[in-house]
Formats: sequence, structure tokens, C-alpha cells
Amino acid sequence: MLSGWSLQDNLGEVFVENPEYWQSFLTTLILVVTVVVIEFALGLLLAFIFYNNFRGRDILFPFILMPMMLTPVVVGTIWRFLFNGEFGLIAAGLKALGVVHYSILNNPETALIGIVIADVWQWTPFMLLLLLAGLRTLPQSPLEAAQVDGAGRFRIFMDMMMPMVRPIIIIALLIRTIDAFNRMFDTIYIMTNGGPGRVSETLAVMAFRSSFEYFFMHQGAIIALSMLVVVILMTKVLSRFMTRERRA
Amino acid sequence: MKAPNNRSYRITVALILIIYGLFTLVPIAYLLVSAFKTQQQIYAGAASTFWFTPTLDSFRFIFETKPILAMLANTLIVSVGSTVFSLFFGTIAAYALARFDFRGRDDLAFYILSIRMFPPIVAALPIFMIYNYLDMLDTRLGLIIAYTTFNLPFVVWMMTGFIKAIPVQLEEAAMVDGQSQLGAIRDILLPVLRPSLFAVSIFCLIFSWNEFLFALILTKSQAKTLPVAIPEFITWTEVGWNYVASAGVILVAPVLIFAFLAQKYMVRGLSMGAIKD
Repeated sequence: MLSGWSLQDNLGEVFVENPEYWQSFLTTLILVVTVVVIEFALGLLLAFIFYNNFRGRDILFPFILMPMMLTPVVVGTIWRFLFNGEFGLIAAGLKALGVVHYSILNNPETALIGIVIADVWQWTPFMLLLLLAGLRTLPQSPLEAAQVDGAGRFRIFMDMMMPMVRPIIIIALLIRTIDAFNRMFDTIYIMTNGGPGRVSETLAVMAFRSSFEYFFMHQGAIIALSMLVVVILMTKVLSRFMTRERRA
Repeated sequence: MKAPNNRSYRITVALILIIYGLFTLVPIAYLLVSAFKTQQQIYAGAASTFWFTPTLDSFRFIFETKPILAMLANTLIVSVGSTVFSLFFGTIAAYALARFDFRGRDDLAFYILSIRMFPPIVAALPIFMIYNYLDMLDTRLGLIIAYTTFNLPFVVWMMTGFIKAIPVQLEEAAMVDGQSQLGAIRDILLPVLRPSLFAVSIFCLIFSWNEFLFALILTKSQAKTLPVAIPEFITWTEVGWNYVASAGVILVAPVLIFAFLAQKYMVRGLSMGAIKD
């Protein structure tokens, strides 16, 4: 089984002879960064809203959290059909704007946007939950003192609350980044299976397709290992922040 | 801190919540209504998306053409099996990490957590080859063991935090009164930990229930779980949306109902374990 095995050949096959690997690497990077930035911004906005009391908050909250409990495969199908150019709800909306039979996932220019929307839909609640938990641990007295002294709400948020929750923000961002990097698979497999062409083929999808569609197990293994290296680097950073947090 | 109470703040918040709430709920509602439609109703146009006569046709169809019940049973057995397995061994490991002081403890704790950070495909490829060799592909036991790779580190990490939060004096007092260490764990620690164990097991159940990649690679027919069956309903012409939606509702409904019943535990579980350890 191992005869004729050469690490060098295998590495060369994936990283050098095959420009597709770097293309997928870039796709993964673009998706992860876009998704995490949007989810963080939305999550922070919602966390701030849910941190303050309003009528109906406790009824609304579990509904907002629902997407993160759903099976990613089902989330993928829901969005695939919402984006469908023939009968999807979004296509109907586009038709009202004058774009007829436009299918977002079937067009190379917009396929990634569709995937980002589905991911943001599913994982913003997770960000919200982490950030809200962080905000709730803040001591109340300095915030109230600042309010009595006449500081504006926005100032208090930016200059007092944000620095205090910074460690939690960093941990939340890192956890979500690692997760997004690892799990860019289920929804994409359903929505586009890496297509059209290869525009949405992330590293995880590429590793899967090399192994189980083209049966180049060794290539799949090397792609997976390269993902592991990236994740180990990110985990190292995470570990440093977590131990610092524990000492503080 | 007092909540802001001026008019413009309230209007902005209400607008944001309405828009975001619609963004969240419309896709779920779309799934739900499509599950009760016929093929023709799917094509009937956007105006009748939420206005139609519901039927159970597509549920009947998928139960007749696919072994939905067997796949549901597989999903349930594998989820429960892996959760029980992980909870038992994970809690024991967490006890050691929380209560005993040994060299390299914090590093060990973080290594265990970092297994959770593995890209799943990294674990799935070698497991596939090993199972192929051991003849364990397409078995429920194989899937239970595979799911333990992500559930066990999660349990260890969360339970270590929960056990640390409970003062050790409780157990020490029982031991002074003549209890053995195991007796103290059983009579003092476990009853206090019950809500935490409950929260952690809910998460393990949901993770395993929703899992797709391992099940896709490691099963064929005998041990196939329901998430793997979902893509099979999607054909190239995309005509089967009502069938996909019915299968999706069957898959998603138990989790949502369960999550609503147990939400108090879940929010507490996540906020305690993930942020403070």
C-alpha cells in the first residue's frame, strides 16, 4: 500500500502543480473574513439592543437564536431554494426590480454572496450569544457613575464597555473564525457543491471532492493537513488570549 | 444602567429588530409552509407562498419512498449513544482536571479543547481508512465513535469549568464525615452538577443530530442518518422542494422543540462554560 510513496511528490502535486489549491485557499480566506466581520458587526449591534431591556425581549430572544440550532444541511437547502431563479422568493423579489430569472447561486459573480448570506443568517445568533454573555458580566457601578456624570450612551459604549469586554470580543472572534474555517462545508456542499465552476470551492470542499469524488485520497489528506496547520496557528493565538484572560 | 428611553432610540431599535426578525423568521417559515404543499403549489408563484391549502402529500411520499423512520432511528441512536459515551468519560476527565493539581494540567486541558478545533475533514479521512480496514464502515457503532471525537473534548472543557465553580469544601466536608472520595462525588457533587450535565448533554445531542460530514463519508445504507438523506431529495431540475422541505421539517422540528423547552439551561450553559472557565 505504501510502495512508491513519496511525500515530496504528493506535496508538489497539491501545492505546486495545482494552482487550484491556492485559488481555494483564497476563496476560503475571503469567505471566512467576510462572514466573521459581518457577523461580528451585526452580533454587536444586536447584543447592545438585547442588553437593554425592552418590552417583549425575552419572547423575541429565543426566536432570534433559532437559526443556530438548525441542521446546516437544512439551512443549505432552504437558501438554495430561496435563491432559486424559477420559483424562489428572492427571485420573485428580483423580478419586481426588473431582473428576470436570475439565480444568485448559479452565477459566478454572485454565488459567494449567496453563501455569505446563508452563513450570516445561521451564525450571527452565536456571535450575539457570546457577546451578550460578555456584556452581562460587566460591573454596573462605573457605567452608572459615568451616566450620572453626563456621558452619552455612545461614549459609554465605545470608551468604557468595549475596552472592558475586549478579551471576550477577541475570544469570540477567534472561536468563530476557527469554526468558519473548519465548517465551510455542509451548506456549500448543498448550495453549490463548490460551483459554478470552482468559485465557491473552499478547502474543506476541495479536500472532500479530491478524496471521495476523484478518489485521490492522498491529495485530500494533504489539503486537510494544510488546513490543520492554519488552525493550529489560530489556536495558538487563541490559547495565549485565554491564558492571559485567566490570569487577569 | 438605565435603558435609553427617547423616541428616536426606540424607533431605531424597533426598525432594526423588525428587519432582522423578518430576515431570521421568513426562511424558517418558508421551509415550514413548503413542507405542506404539492409540487404544483410550489410553482404557483410568490403571491401564494404563504397562502395555500395545506396537504400532507409530500410527507406521505417521502415516507413511502425512503426509509425515513429507520434513518430517524439511526440518527437518534447515534446521537444518544455518543452523548452518553462522551458525558461519562468526559465528566470523569473533567473531575481530574478540576480537582487534582498536576504538572502540565492547564496545557493538557487546552490540548483537549484544541481537538474540538480540528477541521472535521482532518479526522474524517483517517477514520474512513481505519474503518475500511476494520470493516466498520456503515455501522452505528462506528458513527458513535466518530462523533465522540468532537463531543468528548466539548464535555471535558465545559464540565471542567462547571466543577471548578463548585467549592471543593462541600466534598471535603463529606469526606471528613467519613465518606470515600467516590462517595462524595456521588452524593455531593453529582446532584449539584445535574443542571450543568443536562445543559452539556443538550449541546452534544444537537451537535450529533445535525452532523453531516462524518455521516456522509462513513455510512452508506444500514447506518445512514437523516441529514445525509436530505441532499438525495434534490434533483438536478430542483423539482422536489416540497419533499426536501418535509424531510427538513422532520429533521429540524425535534431540535427546535427541545431547544425551546430547555433554553434556560442552554443559555446558561453556553455563557458559563464558554466565557468563564
